[in-house]
Amino acid sequence: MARNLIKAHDKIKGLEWTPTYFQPEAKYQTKFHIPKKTKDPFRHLIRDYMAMEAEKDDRQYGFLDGAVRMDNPNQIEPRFAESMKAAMAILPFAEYAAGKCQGMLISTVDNEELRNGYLAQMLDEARHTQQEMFLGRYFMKHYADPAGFDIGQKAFGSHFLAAAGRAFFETFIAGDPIECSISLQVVGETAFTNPLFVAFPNTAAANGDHATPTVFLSIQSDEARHMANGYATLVTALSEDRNLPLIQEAIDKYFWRGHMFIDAFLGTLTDYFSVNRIGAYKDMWQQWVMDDWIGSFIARLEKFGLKPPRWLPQAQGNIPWINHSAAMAAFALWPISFWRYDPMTEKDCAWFEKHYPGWYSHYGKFWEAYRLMTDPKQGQIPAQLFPSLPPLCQVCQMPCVFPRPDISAMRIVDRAGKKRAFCSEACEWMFDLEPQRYLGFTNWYEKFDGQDLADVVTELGYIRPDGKTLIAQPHLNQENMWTIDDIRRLKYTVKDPLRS
Amino acid sequence: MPYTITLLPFEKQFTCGDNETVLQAAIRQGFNLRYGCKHGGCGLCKALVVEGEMDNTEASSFALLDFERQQGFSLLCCAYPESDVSIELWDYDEADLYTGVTVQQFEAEVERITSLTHDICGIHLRLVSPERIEFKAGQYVDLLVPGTNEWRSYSMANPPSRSGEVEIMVKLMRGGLFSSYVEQQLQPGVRFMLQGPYGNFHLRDTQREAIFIAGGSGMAPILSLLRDMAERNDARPVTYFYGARARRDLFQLDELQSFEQHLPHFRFVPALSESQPDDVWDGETGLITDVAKRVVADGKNKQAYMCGPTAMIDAAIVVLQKLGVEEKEIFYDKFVTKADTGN
Repeated sequence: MARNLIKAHDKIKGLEWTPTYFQPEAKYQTKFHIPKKTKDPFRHLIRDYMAMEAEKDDRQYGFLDGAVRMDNPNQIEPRFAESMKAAMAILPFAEYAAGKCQGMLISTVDNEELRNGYLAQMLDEARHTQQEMFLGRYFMKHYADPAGFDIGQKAFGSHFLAAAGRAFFETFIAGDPIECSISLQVVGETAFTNPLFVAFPNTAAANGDHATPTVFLSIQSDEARHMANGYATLVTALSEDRNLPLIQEAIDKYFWRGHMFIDAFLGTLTDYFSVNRIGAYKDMWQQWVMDDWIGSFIARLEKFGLKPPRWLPQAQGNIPWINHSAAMAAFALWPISFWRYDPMTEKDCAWFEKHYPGWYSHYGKFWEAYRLMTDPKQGQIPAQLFPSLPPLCQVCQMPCVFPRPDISAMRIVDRAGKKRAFCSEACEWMFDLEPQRYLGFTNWYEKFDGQDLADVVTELGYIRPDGKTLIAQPHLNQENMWTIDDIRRLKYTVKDPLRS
Repeated sequence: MPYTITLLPFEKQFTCGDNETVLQAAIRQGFNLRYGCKHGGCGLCKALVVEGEMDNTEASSFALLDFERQQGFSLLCCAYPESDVSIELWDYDEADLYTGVTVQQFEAEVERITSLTHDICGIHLRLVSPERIEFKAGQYVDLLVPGTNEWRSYSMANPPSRSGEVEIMVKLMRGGLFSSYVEQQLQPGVRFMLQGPYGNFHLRDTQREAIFIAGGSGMAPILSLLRDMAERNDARPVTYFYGARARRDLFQLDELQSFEQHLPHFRFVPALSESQPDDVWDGETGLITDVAKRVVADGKNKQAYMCGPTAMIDAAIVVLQKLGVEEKEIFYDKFVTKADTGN
C-alpha cells in the first residue's frame, strides 16, 4: 500500500508545470534560497486525508454532545473553567494565523513537495480554528458562568496580556515567510506543542473537563504533519549554506518569543488555574523543551551547523519564575480581565513552595495580601500594593517583571526619540535588528494613561449584562461580586509607568 | 520476554524488552525513529506493522484511527510488542536511521607513555589499521594483552575528534596481568590489537544540568566527555566530583582548570578521602559521595554520569536518588577489575 502511495504522489507531482509565458511576481519577499526538490513531508492523498479528518470531527463533536448530556461543563473545577475564557479567546487566532502562514508559504516556496504539506496544514488549521471556536461556544452555552466566553474574540483585541499572545502569534504571519515557518512550525509546533497539547489537556482532565482534552487530542493528531512540515522546510533551507546565518537568527529570535509568551501563559494556566495539578510546569518544560527539542531535535541539526538558540541560558534562568511573575501581574490587575480569578490558598502556596523552592519568599506575601482584598467592601485591589505598574516590553508586549520583579532583566532605553522598555536583552536585540517592525506599537498603558480604572473597564466592555457587575472577579463566589461602582470608589488612575 | 523488532526494508534489527515501547528500545539502541509527543497523541511515530502483534491500546483514538489500526498501523511511542515484529519504514533513509557505530578490530602502536600518578599510567596509541576510529565520548575499547588471549577494557580519554588515536589510562594493580605487562615490558613502538568501540556510557543529548562523578582511572571517559564538550561549546552546567585518596593521586589538574574557562558553567570539585599529613590541600575532604551530597543541594532535573570502582558507583546511586535525581537519568560505567569478578 505504502509504495503505491508514493507512486501516486509522484504522479500528481508530475502534473505541475512551470509556465514559460510569464514571470511570476513574488507576493511575499524572502531572503532565503529554497531548492526546487526535496522530500515530501505529507504522506497522504487528499482523498484519504479528508476521510481521516471527517472521522476525527465525528468523534469529537459526538463526544461533545454526550458531554453536555452528562453535564460535564458543570462538573469542572470552576478555577480551571475560568482559564478557558482566556485560552479560547487567544488560541483560535494562533490557529488562524497558522493557516494564513501556509498560504504565504505556498505562494513563496517553489517546491511541490513542500507545498503539498503546506496545503494539508492549511486545511488542518482551518479545522482547528473552528474546533476551538466551537469549544468556546460549548462553554458559553453550558458552563454556569458564561460571562467572558461571549466576548472572547473582541476582548482578545483589547486585553493587556492577550496583546502579548497576539504579538507572538503574529510572528507566524508577519515578515519573511520562511521566518514565519520557523516561528510557527519549528518553534511553536515542535518545541512548544507538547506543553500545549499534552500538559494542558491533562490538566483539564485532572480538573474534571473532558471536552477540552477531546478537542485537543483531535487537534494534536494533526500536529505530526506540521512538525514534519517544519522539519522539511528547515532541512531544505539548511541544505543551502548561505541560509544558515538567517536560519540561526530566526531560531534565536522566535525561540525567545515563544518562550516569553507560551511559558508565561501556559505556565500560569497549568499551575495557577488548576485545583488538581499534574506536575510543575517547569518540570514539564525540562522534559519537552530541553530534552526533546533542544536535546534531540536541534541536536540532530547540529551537523548542518545549527546551534541551540542564542538566548537559551536566559530562558533557562526564567523558567523557575516566569509563570509566578506573570500570574502576579495578571492577578494584581484582575479588574481588567474577562474571567474570574480564584485566590491561591495556603494549600496552593505550600504546593508552590514544594515544587519551586524559594517561591514563598518572593510571592508568598503577595498571595497573603491578595486573599484579604477579594471583598469589594475592603475597597482595594492588589495593584495598589505596588508603587507603579510594570512597563510593557516594546517587542514581546509582556510586562517587564522577568524572571522576578526583584531581579528583573528590564532595561529602559531611548529609541527613536522616546523612552522604551524591553523585558530582556534578547528583546532589545530583536528591536535593534528591525526597529521599524516594533516602533508603531502603542501599548495598553499609552492608550489608557490618566484614565480612571472604572472608565477603562467600561470602555473595554468587560461588564456583565446587568450593566454594572464586572466580568472579572478576584474570587469565584456568586455573592460579593464587584461592580463598576466599587471600582470607581477605588479612585485608581491608570498611569503609564514610562511617562511618570 | 524480549522480542526482536525488524525494520524493513533495511533489515535492521534490535530487541525490545518487557515494559518498554518500541520507540524506547529503538532509541536506546541507536535507531533514530521519528517521534513527537511520546504520548500516543501526535502520530509522528506512526508506522506500518507488516508482521507480528503489537499492543497499541494507549494510542489516542484520534492519532490512530480505527481503520488505521485495522490496516496494521501502530504508534511506536506507545506500542508494546506481543511477538517478534517487522515494521515497514517506507519513508526513511537508511543513513538517517542508524546512528550506531560499528565494532571493528584495530592495530595500534604505542606512541607515548606517561606516568600520571604513582599508580596510574597514561598510554597514547596511534591507530595503524584502520587509521581512524569512530566513537562517542565515554565509550571504551578492548585491548588484547600481548602474549595472552586475555582482553582488558579501557575507556578512551581522547575526544572523538582525535580519531586517529586512542588514549587510555591504566590503573596499575599489583599482580594484575596487564599491569605487570605495563610495568615490565611496555615501551613506545609496541603494537596492540584493539576491538571496539563498546559501551552505552556517553553524554545524552540534552542541556540538563549534569553531575559527573569519578574516581581513579574513571577520569579517562570523563575527560573524553569534557574535551568533547569544550570542542562543541556545549554549555550545559556541569559539576565534576573527582575522588582521590591523597594529593599524590590527583592529576590532570591544569587541563581541568582550563575547562573552567572554556566551559562557562563547569565546576571541578576534587576531594581527598585520606589526605596525608604533608598534603597541601584546602579543597574538599571526605568520600566523594559525601562531598557530592553536600555540594549538590537538589538533584531534581539533573543527570548524573559516573565512572569508577563498583563500590563508589553503588554508593553514589543511593546518594543521587536521595537528592532527587531520577533513576533513568543516572548513567555509569563500572570499572570492574579482573580481581573483582573472582576469576
